[in-house]
Amino acid sequence: MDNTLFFTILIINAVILGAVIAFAVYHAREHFSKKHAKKNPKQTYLPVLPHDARQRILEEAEDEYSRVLERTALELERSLAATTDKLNNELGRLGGTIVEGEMQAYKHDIEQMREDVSSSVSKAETEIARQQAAVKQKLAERQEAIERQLTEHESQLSALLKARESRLAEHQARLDADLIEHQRAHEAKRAELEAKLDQEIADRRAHYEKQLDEKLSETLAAFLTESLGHDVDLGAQKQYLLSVLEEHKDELKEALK
Amino acid sequence: MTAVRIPDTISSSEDLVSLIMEVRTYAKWFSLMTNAQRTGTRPDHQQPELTTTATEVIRASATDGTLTPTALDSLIADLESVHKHARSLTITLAAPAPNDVKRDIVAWTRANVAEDALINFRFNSQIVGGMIVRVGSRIYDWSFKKAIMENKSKLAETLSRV
Repeated sequence: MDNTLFFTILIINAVILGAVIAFAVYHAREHFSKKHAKKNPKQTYLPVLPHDARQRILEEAEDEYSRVLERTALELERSLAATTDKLNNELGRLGGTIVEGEMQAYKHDIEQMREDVSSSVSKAETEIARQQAAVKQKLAERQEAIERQLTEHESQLSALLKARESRLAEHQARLDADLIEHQRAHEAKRAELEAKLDQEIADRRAHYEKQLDEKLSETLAAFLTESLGHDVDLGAQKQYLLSVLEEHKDELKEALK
Repeated sequence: MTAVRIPDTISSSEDLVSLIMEVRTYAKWFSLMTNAQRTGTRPDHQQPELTTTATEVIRASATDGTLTPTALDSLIADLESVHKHARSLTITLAAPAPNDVKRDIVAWTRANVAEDALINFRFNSQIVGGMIVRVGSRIYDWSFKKAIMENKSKLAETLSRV
């Protein structure tokens, strides 16, 4: 801020100094142009002077001109120095005024800016507070919603967990039942196989016994047949035959229907 | 119920056919003789010889002690009807059955099982004793051989009946 103001003042000074130099140059040219105009007056036809005279006059004029010019230059230089001093003073005074004004404006601006900043800060703080309150409100609402959702999810998860546990228990029960059933079936199968094996052994034994008995019976029957042959006394068997018929009377009736 | 009672001496279907043939022969002769008596001529044919059983059957068919061709024709029809509808069974014994055994078995069967039963008797010495009864497709083996085969423990009891 200070640098900007300083450069501003320098630029103003340079502009004023330039204006003064331009003004001086302008006056100097005006001055020389008037002298030149005076130096070329209306063409008059003077009587021709001798060369020496003219030379002497010309030299005297030139000397006079140089002196005037030097005196004018000195006066101009003095005047310029005075003007410069005056201008410097004016510039200093003006610069001080400007600097003071600028400083005051700067201070005012600073103060305004500070007030603005303070106001902005206050507004910002208010806004921030409001935003914070809103955020807190939203956060609270969000948290409440999240907690509500969390509670809901927890309840759902709890229900799901219970259902899953129930299904798991059912599945476990089914598995246990299946296992028990399989064990029972296995036991039954084993018992059945053992019974079947025992039965098969018994059947095999009975079969062999039956075969043995049949062989013996066949042998005995063959012996009896050979021994009795056609000498069977049916008269002696008559009562037995009638008793056999009597014993199977119902079967015969049924067969003859 | 049959109109005529089959004598117990007629046991099989063959016996019944023979009886029918005898009755027919007799009925034919009886008809000729009746016609000859009616016309006053001598019959050319001699009276056929009848078995005791046929004689009994023909005598039983006479109404009021008088035999008529119609009664004989009716008897023949009844016998054919019995032959056609009678229920038959086959009994196999260990030896050819004597007549008294056959008669008793037939009498018992007709008295206790079926009145019109016809029994064909066969014999097979291999069955040792007892009988095998076949009724239609059913076979009842009540032979000693079967009894021996089925239970050797009763062999002594079975042998005691031989």
